[in-house]
Amino acid sequence: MTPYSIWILEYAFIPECPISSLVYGRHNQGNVKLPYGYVLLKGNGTTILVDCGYNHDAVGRKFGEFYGVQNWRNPTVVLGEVGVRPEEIEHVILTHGHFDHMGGLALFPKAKFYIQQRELTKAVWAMALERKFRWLMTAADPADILYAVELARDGRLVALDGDVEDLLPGVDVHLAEDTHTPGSQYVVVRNDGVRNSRDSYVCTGDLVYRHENLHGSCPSDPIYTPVGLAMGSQTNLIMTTDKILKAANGEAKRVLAPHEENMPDIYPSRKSKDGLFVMEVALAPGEGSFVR
Amino acid sequence: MRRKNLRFADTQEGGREALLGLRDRTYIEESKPVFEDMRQIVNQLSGLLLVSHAVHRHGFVVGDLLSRSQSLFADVREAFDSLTSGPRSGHHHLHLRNAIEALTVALTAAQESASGLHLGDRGLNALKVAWRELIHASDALPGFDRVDLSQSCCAQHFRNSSQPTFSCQGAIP
Repeated sequence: MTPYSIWILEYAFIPECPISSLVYGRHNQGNVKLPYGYVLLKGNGTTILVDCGYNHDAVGRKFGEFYGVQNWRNPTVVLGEVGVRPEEIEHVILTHGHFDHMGGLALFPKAKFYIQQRELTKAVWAMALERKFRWLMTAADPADILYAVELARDGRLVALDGDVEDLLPGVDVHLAEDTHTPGSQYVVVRNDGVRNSRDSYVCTGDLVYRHENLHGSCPSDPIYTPVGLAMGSQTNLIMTTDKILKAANGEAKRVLAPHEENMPDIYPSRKSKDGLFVMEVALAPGEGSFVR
Repeated sequence: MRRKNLRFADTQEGGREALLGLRDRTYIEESKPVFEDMRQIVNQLSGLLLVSHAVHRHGFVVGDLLSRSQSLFADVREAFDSLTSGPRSGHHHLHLRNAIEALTVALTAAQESASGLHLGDRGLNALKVAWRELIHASDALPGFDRVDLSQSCCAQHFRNSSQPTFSCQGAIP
């Protein structure tokens, strides 16, 4: 295989959110910007997205307004920054079922979607519980579920049962059971194509919000610090953090966390006219830069 | 569109023509749990459908889950029958009634199917109709949300402190 071009594309952001929601235990320590984004992989004759955002034109607008999300732009605009159209996306790997990662199913009309089956079954299990257990549901939009039913009927929604190597060329997924959500998964891109890659990147979803989760603000003496929301276990999150960092060759910069506000400082980047960052993580041979 | 013009009578922002009287306010209070339970039944049935189509070995006791939906639906019907709409809430009430009829079809289809999961086109279409009717109901009066934002979601934790917080309508036991 040839290397993928990789971009992190910001599609919206919350200007200020409490850092305590991103890094466990950081109460009363102020607010930070929370970007929303997805990761685009282009190469090997295909175009892959990790997560698909949410649809502001549907009930997502209500989410956005309620949570103070700003500058939402649709995928036509966001992907257009790197010359890609939503119709060109062939595969979408969903890290988990939260609205800002899975709410954009309808925005990618030709894509096949991949999610862990545990994420689906536990959601349905939670729906069947009494009303007082509703915290266990994840603010599900019935319209999204009905749309997902149609995708599944058409063979466009694939439920994965655990880890899958080479789900797509050089792209592995790993189940992180009972962590941020019951069936979260992270994506490892082995960009040199070899099994023991020395050029790998990890797309974390919400298993890592900020690189601070990797070192606890002390890179010289790191302490894994979980994200602020665990529907499963903080212990599982910490063990997963270790696996993620190892899969990223031990380099924090290879941990691609779209909610990390400092990613634009790590990779070549630019701000679009809509005030959203385009971050260029890797360029395949022959691919031109979209940030310079 | 209608919703924006309707305000509770005791708010200062409501115009005289747009005021909701006591009957409508009582209706809203009593129909809200009915609406929410119907939304939950749509979630349950569509979730079951999703799992049936996407997951080969889901390990559910489908009958148990279906019977919970049916039990909830029986409560919904009873509560719905006891509702009395006011002059400004009749439209909302009509959509709830339509949703109940559609859910009846969807649940019957589920019950009749061999696995309890494969509703077929008839059942799926009925489920879509039910949801469409609930959306119309949501648009007809204030206070009927398409999504329960009190449920867990990472974004909820990011909610700006200036945003309204959830309130509990009942007394804390």
